[in-house]
This record gives sequence, C-alpha cells and structure tokens, in this order.
Amino acid sequence: MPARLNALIRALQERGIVVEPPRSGGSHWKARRPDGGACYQLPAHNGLRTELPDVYVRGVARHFDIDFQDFKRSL
Amino acid sequence: MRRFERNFWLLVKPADDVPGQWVGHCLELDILSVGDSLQEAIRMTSEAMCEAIADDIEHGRSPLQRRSAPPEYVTELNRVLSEGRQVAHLEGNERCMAALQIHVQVERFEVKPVAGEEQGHLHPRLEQLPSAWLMAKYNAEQRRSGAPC
Repeated sequence: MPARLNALIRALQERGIVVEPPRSGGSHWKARRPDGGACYQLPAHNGLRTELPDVYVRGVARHFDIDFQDFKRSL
Repeated sequence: MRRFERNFWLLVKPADDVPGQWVGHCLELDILSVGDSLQEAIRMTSEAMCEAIADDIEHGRSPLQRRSAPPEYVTELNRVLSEGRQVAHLEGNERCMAALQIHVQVERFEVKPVAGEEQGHLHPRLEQLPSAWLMAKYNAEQRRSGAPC
C-alpha cells in the first residue's frame, strides 16, 4: 500500500524532523533535521494526499538514516 | 562558492506500486520525486534538485557532499544506456524507463527575492540536455522473450 504525503510528514515529525510547506509556486515540502544538515524535498503535486511509492520512501529513509521497514510500518 | 555548474543523470520509470505514477531519480544527489506522467516526473525531480542545490549553497554546503544513489540504481542507469535506444524526444510509455541528463547552473550573486518571498533565494537555471535513452521496463521473463520498447 503506497504512503500518502500527509502520513509521511507526520512520521517525519514524530522523529523530530522539521517539515516546511512549499515556497510560493513550489510543489515540494522541505524536510530537515533541526540541527541542520541537507534538506530533502517531499513532492506535493497532488496536495497532502499525494501518493508516494516505496522507492521514494526508501530515498527519504536513506537521506535521514532511518530504517526503511520501521519507517514504512509507521506510515 | 561563486558558481556551481554540473550535469546530473536522471533515471525515470513507472512506479511499481502506484498505478499511473512515474518516479524520477537524480543519481548523483540521490534525490527522488514523482509525477503523473513521464514529463511531470522530470519536471518535479528537476524542481526538487534545484531546491536542494539552492538550499545547500545558501547554507554554505556543496551539493556534491550529498550521498549519491546506491549502486543498484547506477547499474540500472548503465543498463538503460547500454541496452536502450537513444531518442531525441521523450514520450511517456508505461513500459519504458528513461535516462536523461539535466544541466544545472547557479550564480552565487543572483540571490534575489521574488513576489511572495520574504528573503532572496538562489534560483538555479536548468536545461535538459538533448539526448535521452529509452529502454523497456521488463521483468526476467519478458527479457528472455525480447519484448521491445
């Protein structure tokens, strides 16, 4: 079952990751650890109900060094 | 950093678990995005790349410090380049994977606010390079039967 963006945002926030909405005209939310570091873009071309395939969720997990299976279970 | 300029490889293919959706993946930056068509996935991935690159430079980081994609994705790219056909125009086909390059250029002094923004941000310029490669997205059984793209 693919994840939706709103669930991904919630799961990231539960792990202490800061998530910001898109800039005006943008189609991506921005996620970053509060202590800095590189951000990661979360696609929102269909709003907060945007469906996200596993290959994308794996990329998010890699970027934030989160175990994918554990992350997926929380979505 | 006054200027940043580089070509990046994008691998674009249909999502396995979301019908009708395409996934774009910038391999050098390990950045992914999605779209409801091949062209939209390219546009969305390019936007994600530009925002990430701009954010890195604004915070004093080189975008190339990001980890690149795991080796299996580079293997997939190399397979598309070696077994796919080179095309001048990309058209969406649910059975195909596409590989293309995006040229990104950022001038450090071009930080300027635009309407709706409280502060200036970098606005990278990007350009899709002319050549692209297409290859059928198939499983082992189809490969044995030689299914074309």
